[in-house]
Amino acid sequence: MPNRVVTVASTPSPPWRLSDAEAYAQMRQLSDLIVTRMALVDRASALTIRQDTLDTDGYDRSAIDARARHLADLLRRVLE
Amino acid sequence: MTPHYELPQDSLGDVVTALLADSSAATSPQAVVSLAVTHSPAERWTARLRREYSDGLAVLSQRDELAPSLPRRELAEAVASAAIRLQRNVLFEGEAHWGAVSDTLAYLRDAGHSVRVVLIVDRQTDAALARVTQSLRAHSLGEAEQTRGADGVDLGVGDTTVDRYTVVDGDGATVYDGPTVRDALRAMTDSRAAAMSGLQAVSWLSELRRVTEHVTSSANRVPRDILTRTVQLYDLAVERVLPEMPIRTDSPAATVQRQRLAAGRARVQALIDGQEQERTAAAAPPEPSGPSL
Repeated sequence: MPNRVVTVASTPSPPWRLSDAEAYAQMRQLSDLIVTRMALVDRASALTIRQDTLDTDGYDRSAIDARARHLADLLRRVLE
Repeated sequence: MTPHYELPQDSLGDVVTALLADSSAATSPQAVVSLAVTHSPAERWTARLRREYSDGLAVLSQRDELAPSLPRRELAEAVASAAIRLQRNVLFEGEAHWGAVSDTLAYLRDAGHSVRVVLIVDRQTDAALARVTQSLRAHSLGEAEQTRGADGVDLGVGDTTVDRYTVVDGDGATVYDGPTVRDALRAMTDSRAAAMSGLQAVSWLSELRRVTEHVTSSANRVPRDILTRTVQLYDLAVERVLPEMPIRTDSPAATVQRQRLAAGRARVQALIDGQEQERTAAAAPPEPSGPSL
């Protein structure tokens, strides 16, 4: 699992704009990663994160990007 | 196989309880399944679905992270059993294949849930471009490419399990919502062929230009398959995208755009031709090297 974290955190930006579908898929992947790590130690918090992610509109790019930024911050804290 | 699980009092029971806690008892409970027909992840519409159900909509994700060690089918069947007993709405999210959940849905329907299928359908032009950028990204990272979307889906025409179909187009708009599979299929076809707005078309062409810059300047050799699909994007641009733009075909802007597309296509085709020449040279038998006189 740590290898996957490094991949997500160090992915270089492509020269093209990430499509909305790709941005959403990556955000969900990031959320899954955090929830998987947290589920074993704090199921309630993991469920809250999961629900907030599920409630992020997949067709609202600004909401997707904001959620991804929040999750990235959360991942850094989880890894500390 | 017919599901027959009672909710166990172990970790599986905990997971199912946690998943269903996101909804309350419904007077007319529904079982929903979302299917990606083209490139978009089917999960994209989940938030809007959840807002639609005032009783809540418990979500079982295709790769549920809360129970990673459990067999998918066992979890689905346990959720279905609990949803029936507790009268909960439940969404099977991102199912790539209808067959993966058809038994579970039939079981839910027999027990009183109505069954709804949500189909997520991108435009053909958007899906084609997104697939190329996804392949390029995976290639540049050295990762295996994830297949997303079924590019057509067997709806089990004539299947009496489904009560309601919802078709969502590439912009997230509902284009069909009703009981008829024939109308759902027609809406899917229309969504795939839908025209882009002028702004979307400009953005599409801009992304194609960036993709071309990347494949022609990349230090890593881009696989022929991706190059071929990039050339196909240029054909799509000429046949579909450019004619849909709000400019006259004989205008200077259209002429310049066609010239740019022809030049971009030629650059990518030259890479393919170069790879083909290398392959031919490598496969050719070595020149006979007799003693020189």
